[in-house]
Amino acid sequence: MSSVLYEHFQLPQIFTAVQLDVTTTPAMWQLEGYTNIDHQVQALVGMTVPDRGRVTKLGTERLVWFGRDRYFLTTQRQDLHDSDGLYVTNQTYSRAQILIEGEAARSLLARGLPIDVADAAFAVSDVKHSHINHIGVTVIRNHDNAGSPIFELWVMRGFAKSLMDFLLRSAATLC
Amino acid sequence: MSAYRIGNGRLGEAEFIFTFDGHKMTARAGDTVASALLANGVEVIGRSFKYHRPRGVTSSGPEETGALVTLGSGARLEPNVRATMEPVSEGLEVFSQNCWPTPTFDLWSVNSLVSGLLPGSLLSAGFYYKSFMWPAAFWHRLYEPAIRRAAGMAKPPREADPDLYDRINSFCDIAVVGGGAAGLSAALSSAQSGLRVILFEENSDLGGQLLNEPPDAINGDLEQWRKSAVVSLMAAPNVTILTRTICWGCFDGNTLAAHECIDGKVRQNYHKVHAGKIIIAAGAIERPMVFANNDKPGVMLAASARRMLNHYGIAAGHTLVVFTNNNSAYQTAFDYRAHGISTLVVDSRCKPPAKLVAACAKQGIQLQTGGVVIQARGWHGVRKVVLADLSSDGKSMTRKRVVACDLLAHSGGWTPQVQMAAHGGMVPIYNQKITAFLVDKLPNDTWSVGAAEGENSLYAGIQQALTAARLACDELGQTAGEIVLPPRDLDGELNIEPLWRVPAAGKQMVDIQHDVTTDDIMQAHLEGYVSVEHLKRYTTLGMANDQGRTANVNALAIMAQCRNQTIQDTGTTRFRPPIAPVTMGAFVGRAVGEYFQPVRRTPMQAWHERFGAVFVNVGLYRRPQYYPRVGETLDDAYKRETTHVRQKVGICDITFLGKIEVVGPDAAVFLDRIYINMLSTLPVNKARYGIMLREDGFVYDDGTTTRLAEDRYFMTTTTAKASSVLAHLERCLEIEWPELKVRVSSVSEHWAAMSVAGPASRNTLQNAFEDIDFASEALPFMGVVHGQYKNIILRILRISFSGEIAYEIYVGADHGETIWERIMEAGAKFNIIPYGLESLGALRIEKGHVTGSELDGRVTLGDVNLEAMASRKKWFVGQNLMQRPGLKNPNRPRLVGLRSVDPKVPIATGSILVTDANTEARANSEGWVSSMTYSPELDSFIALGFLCNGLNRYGEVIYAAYPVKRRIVAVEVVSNHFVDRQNQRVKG
Repeated sequence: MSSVLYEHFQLPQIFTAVQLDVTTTPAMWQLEGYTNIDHQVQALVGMTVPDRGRVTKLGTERLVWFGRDRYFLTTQRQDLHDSDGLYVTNQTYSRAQILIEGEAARSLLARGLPIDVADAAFAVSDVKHSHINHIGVTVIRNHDNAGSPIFELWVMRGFAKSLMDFLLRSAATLC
Repeated sequence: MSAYRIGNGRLGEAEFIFTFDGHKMTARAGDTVASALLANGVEVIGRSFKYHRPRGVTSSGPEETGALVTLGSGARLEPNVRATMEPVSEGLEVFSQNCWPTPTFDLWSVNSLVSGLLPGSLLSAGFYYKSFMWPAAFWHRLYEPAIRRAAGMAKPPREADPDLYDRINSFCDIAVVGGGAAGLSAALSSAQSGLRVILFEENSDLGGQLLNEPPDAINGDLEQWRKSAVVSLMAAPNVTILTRTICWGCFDGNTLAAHECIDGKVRQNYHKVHAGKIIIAAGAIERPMVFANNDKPGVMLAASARRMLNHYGIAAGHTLVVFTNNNSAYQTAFDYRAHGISTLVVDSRCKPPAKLVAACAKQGIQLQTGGVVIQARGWHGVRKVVLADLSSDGKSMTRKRVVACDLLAHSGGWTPQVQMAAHGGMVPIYNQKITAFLVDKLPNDTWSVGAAEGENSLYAGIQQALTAARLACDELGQTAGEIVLPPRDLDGELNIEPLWRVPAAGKQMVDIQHDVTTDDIMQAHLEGYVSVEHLKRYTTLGMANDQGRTANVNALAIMAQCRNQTIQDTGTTRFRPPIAPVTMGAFVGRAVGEYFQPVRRTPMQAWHERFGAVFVNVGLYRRPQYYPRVGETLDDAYKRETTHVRQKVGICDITFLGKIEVVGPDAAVFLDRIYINMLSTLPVNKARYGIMLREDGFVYDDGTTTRLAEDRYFMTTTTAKASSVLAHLERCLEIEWPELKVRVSSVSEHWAAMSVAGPASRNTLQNAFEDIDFASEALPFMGVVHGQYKNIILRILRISFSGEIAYEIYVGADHGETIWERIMEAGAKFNIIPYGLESLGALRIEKGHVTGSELDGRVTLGDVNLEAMASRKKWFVGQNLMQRPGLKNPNRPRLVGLRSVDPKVPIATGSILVTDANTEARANSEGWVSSMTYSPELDSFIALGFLCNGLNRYGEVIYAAYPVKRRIVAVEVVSNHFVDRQNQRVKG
């Protein structure tokens, strides 16, 4: 995925109760079809297809629900091809990944994100599409780190700097 | 009024300094500006809006009508702050407002004196509308500036607000609006269910009317209960308490808007609250009595005078007169008397409850029943009041006499705070028992409890709150908990007998903040403004920052009397959010200055910045407009860049184009329906220009589409339509043709894109990417190849927007700058330059290509001379309605080229095309100019435009008129293809 944010920011940036960082994965593929494609996806990636609003993980690969009959695969694999009604589109550079971790992660996200990310409403491996400060984001809840929640934001590459600017300015005044 | 500190109340003993109009004063922790000013003996805090009458503290809460102050200075100056809501902090600067030079000696108070001499006319409602009509030339030159200087409420700061504001999304299961006894009880009970609860309280302290009760040993039982409730809630992990937070709006979907003052690194927060259930416990506001000079400093709402005493430890006067028509104000008399303050109660009721009469007698309080206060007297503040006996029919008075006092506490009843409940469009209904309005039918998931529901008794209000909590929790699948009730009840029985105004002459203020009197209301009635909505706008009643909390019911009742109808029939104005002032900064949040809106960057943005590009905002992009060299203007630069591309080679960032992949076995069928021309016949690895129409037959967008495989297409759209075209495609697939096996998705962000154009473009690219064959045989016009450069995959289309041989290079976004720099490096020997949007525009106008300026939603295929592109072998979106007679009218304006007769004279975009230079332009408009540029190749200003019957008028000289600037330019009508009409260059 896009490494664009490294051009603009010293990362990670650590605040009192929240830390912002960026992660990248070698490739991101959009998998989609026009009808039930679960079998084709499973055959291609060897991983259980996630339920609506969920993420599944196998090793270093993740399969992210992205809408009806549409998934995003983050993977090391560099060459995937269309097969049997399953269409594979390269989206590797389309999005940047921002990690937000810490006790104040939810408080930071509340400053712009209009979805409920409390434990009960947004469990580990949940994914939702929303926006922050008018910028479209995909929000994934990763596994906690020693009790601290970790959220991963996928943002379109062109808006990544603006979003990170907004998050960093908000984080600086959280506490 | 000569207030003084009489004890600690609930405040701490620590003192600190603040200033009022530059004078140092002391305050205690917990003081508001109002209580601190009173404690320092400040009587006149400012002057009124219109008449510049002296104003002091009238209340202790959000309903404050008199004590408006300005806080801070410079960029942090904040006008019109309600002194009763603002905590004092060390060093706080407080200023009086609406007065000069001082609140006690205000030269503008001449307004009041003149008005007093000419009662009922000068400065009354409608005065400005009627008085400043002639001459019209004076309206904006003299009248408006002069009136604005004289009127208004304080002055805003000139500097930009330096503070930070956050917009926060808050989520909860149950939102409790109001932190009085009912609100505390609802929150306590709900919290025990484990559900998430947010409690909002606009004051600094929780407790509501309980804060009016004495916290001393005798009455400490209620205080203990309050404190215990607050401690329990603060300890509950599932409860969020937001004090100094006003809920100012209730919207669909159980969404609340709230405004929190925090004064930290961030000054204020705007909370958008998403609640499962809402319990409104917003309480009630005490209404004033309407008598002459009821706005004078020293006239306070009775419960507020009591809170000043019991909560802030301030006696608001030495001699008290209580004027009431209900039971509640008696508590103020009892508490002040208990502190040894001389007290007289004037009750307009002839027979107040016997227990109150007995209590007055027991405590040595004089009581006058069936009496009224006609007038408050005193220069700056109350020093005397005029009393009288009210006749049994309430229309006349006898036995007038004058009584000395410096504090007049009054109560005309209580108005439940129904605004939030009414925001759902619910109509408030007048309730005779409490003489106020209540919302009869609440929105779903919403309950109103306690005084907000007209229930003033402590226990009964709490019971309502507990019932609401139980129902709310039940509906959310949980069980509300039990709570410990307060140790005793507080009787809320009002036994009110309404007295809407004292039947006497004088300035009887109804809306104190806006100086609206009973005379104004009567005048509005006489002039026909009898609807409450008209009354509000004609008199400005209820439009100040207290939003008529104290004024509205009295005003409606007076209008009802004027109209001889019931208050219910008179009705209320519609309640609209916000119900309290909200700082604009809180709405804006972080979207200020350079962060006003997100910026969308292309992968080559940093290169453009390093190379000194001048940017122009296009949507959220900042596109390079031109790349100036030393000393160059915009005109110099774009002419140079345009010439260079025509003669040599240039490179342009076109990442801004929308990019959509269309996949599926029915992709070709789908695109045939979307575009006017055939895409199903397009061979793999070829590109084709296409146009799509809206359903109404007008041109929607254009672009090129490339076939990458039998079942995969790569579509580009214009920058402006990138997202709407994708939405259009998705809508067609979801709604129109769900049977088609097609998926569409945006790949705009994945690809960086750049155009290399000019006679040397082929050589440049061949030099840059030696492994790819750029020869025409291998890559003909409209051909597509894929290749690699150092393992970076390239998609190269040979298409042209400029009219020169040109290529579009698409590459994964992270490699965009690498490839750009590679092309620049390889093109150096061919003298490559970057060119910007301005030059791009000049090139395409010379070539006659249309873009958003021409495809503005009003043109047809015929208008842009492209009707021949429309396939006759298939149906496509817009085909049916493009046949409408109006769209086929041969006289419709057609796309033409326009060339200045004097080549040095520019043609203004937006000009109207006329045939007679001397005719009023709009009289015979025959078209318009859509875009213009200077053409270096033709050495002339040229333009594209639409002209009636334009294709048959080549060679005709007409005029491009720009009436706004009184400019008219002679232009020759020519083909829109100014250069290379045979289209040879692109195929070179």
